[in-house]
Amino acid sequence: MIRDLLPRKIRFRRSSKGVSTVIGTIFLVLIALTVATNVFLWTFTQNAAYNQAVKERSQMDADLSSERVVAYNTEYSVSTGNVEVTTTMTAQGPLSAQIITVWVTCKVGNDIKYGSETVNINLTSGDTITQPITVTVPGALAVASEFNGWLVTARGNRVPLELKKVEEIRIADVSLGIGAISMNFSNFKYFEVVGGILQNYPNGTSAFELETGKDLVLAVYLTNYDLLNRSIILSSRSLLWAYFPTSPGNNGEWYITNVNATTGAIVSYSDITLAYGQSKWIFFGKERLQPPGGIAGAVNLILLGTIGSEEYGQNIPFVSIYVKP
Amino acid sequence: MISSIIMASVVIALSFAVLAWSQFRTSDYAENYGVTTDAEIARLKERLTVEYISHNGSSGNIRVYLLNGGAIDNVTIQNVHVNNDSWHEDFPSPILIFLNHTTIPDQALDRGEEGYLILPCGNLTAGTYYFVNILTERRSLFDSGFVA
Repeated sequence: MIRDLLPRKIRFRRSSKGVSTVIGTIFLVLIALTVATNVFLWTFTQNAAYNQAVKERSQMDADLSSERVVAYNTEYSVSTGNVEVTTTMTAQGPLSAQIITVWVTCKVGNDIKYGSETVNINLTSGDTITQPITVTVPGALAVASEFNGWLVTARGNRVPLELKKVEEIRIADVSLGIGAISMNFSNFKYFEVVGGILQNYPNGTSAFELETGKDLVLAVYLTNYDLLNRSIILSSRSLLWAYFPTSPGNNGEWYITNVNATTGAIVSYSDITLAYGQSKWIFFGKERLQPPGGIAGAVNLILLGTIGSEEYGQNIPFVSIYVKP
Repeated sequence: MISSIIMASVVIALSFAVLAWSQFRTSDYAENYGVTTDAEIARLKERLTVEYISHNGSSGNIRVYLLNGGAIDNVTIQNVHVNNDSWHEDFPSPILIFLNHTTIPDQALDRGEEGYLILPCGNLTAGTYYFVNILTERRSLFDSGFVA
């Protein structure tokens, strides 16, 4: 048995020269594995970091395009070296916005003067803020004209300061495109008056068909769309005039009146102010409807008063009425 | 037997040397790769908004008003190129100035900071549109323009 094993031992000793090759191979594999693992892991980490940066950049771009701020009803008033900007800002998009700078340019002679003011106005989604901002504009004079302005948000969006809210430009709303006041044609109501109190107040009844022989107050829904953003004050001379072609002797005049908003009682008249952009129910009467039944009439809205510091008068031929038999 | 031991020792020594060298090369490559990736990431985060460009006809200067609207600090301007079809001018490393007219100490815009550059362009043709390309140190390019 021992004799049988001896040659194998001798053979092993003779072949021990290959050990170095085995060791070298093991190290080679070890080196290859180490290098490959290191490179792979590092590359993986770096790619992950880069992908994260790409995602953040995409999010920034998405936020930038989703940020929707509008600025409208802008008014400029200038004194030497300063322009006061009053504007209404609304965040219409899904994101909150931070206004950081307001820019204004204006023309003085042939020169363009400009200036900016750092602000910190925060708007959450849906917020509307009206704010005066004084911008220092070197060289601005009272004679400056052609004002232009814009806001800069923290995300880098630039928002033009619009003079008008775009959706307000609805010619059909303004009577034939003429005048500062418009009436909502679908809202024309009457109230029967008993003992100085409007019945069924404030709902009223559609006034396109009326019953004769009753004391009525008529109501219209008016909006001030003055192009120069002025307030309108309606004087006691304003009236609603009904003309019946087949019964001209029974024309009716309903003078403007005030109604207690809580009780619906007619109260003594005081001037009614309609601010720019404001919509308001205006009441006329009481007056008894006189014509016989079964005839039609035309109604005119005669408005008098002041607009800003100027006199104002507007006649709106707005609806037709029918007197029930 | 002895020769085998010597051979094995040499192989082991050489193997360690190769391992050390490969580790060095790997870390060197990783470092370079990391630097490149970090630079790309930083570049992705840069965003400059040109708020306004004014041109002063009498002095010939234009002022470029900038906002750092990005997600990274330390945005520095390497070069500004102003051109139209027939004229161009480079302004390397222009001076950054805060809106309150003080020079920005580190000549860099951090996040949310605003500043402006004064570029002496000389006589520009009135009514002509000029392009403005702003190159940052991180190699980001931002474009704008103005009418002289």
